[in-house]
Amino acid sequence: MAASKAKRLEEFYRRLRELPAATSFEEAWTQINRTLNQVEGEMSGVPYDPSKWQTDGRLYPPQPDSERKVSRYPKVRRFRSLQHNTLIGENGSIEIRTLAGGVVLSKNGADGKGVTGQ
Amino acid sequence: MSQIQTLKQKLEARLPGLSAVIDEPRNSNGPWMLDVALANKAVNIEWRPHRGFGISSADPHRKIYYGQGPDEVLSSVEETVERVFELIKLGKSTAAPSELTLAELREHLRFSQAQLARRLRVSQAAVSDLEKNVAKSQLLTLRKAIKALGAELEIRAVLPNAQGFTLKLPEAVTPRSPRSVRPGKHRPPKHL
Repeated sequence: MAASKAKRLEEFYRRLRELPAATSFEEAWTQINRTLNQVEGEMSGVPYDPSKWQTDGRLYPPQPDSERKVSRYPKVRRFRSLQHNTLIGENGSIEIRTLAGGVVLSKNGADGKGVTGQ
Repeated sequence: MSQIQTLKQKLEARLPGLSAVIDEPRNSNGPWMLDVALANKAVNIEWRPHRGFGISSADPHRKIYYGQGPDEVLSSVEETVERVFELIKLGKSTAAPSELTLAELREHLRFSQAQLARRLRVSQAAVSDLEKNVAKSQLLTLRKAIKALGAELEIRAVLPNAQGFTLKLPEAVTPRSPRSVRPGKHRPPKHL
């Protein structure tokens, strides 16, 4: 039986935190994508098909076209999903926030700095 | 003016006091977001140019998980205005499609039993019978009904380790005549 979304996300955050700090945007982007797709592939029971726009029960990492401009922090790139923003720094830092601003996950880049501390 | 801007204006006109904020993508062909709220009701609307509007209720009691897609997808500004009005004014909530029965799916897509029956060229009683006996229906029958609603039927195999696969189905056969969806001795349920 497939695990609940809450359990899958818990596992995603756990694995992402355990990975070595990323050194660049590209590395952090790959960590998020690869980790969430691995967890969902193992625990959701729903085949991977990001072309399906309407929810199919699977959780998908941010897609490149969901990027927004971030005027205050030029070294940060923001990717919007329904209720969250994924912030990724040039230094490989990652932050996932709810729309209300609550931080769900925060991980520093390899230089030890967070997304807003670069 | 883009469709999302038109939608925002129409919603603000229909729902005085509505908070409506557009979150624009870096690339204008990407998904735009419109977050609307009034009192304790909130809806996230995602507009994809050339694809339509994805809608999800964002009520306080309802959790939207990271990476989740929208519950409902509508094609026009007018449909979306009506649906968002209904969600906010009447306090309804969107539902993920995986949680729907066939009857709920039909209602969600705003078809009456009679309308679906006309599309399938069967009686309304046959549609009612199918909705009550989905588990006993033939795959082809169910597939035709789903297709008549403008959707596609998928069947998923889930392994004990939760890995999932969509079963590949042969191309649907287009009915050659109305008879092909009428009763046949080898086709239970009896009315379809």
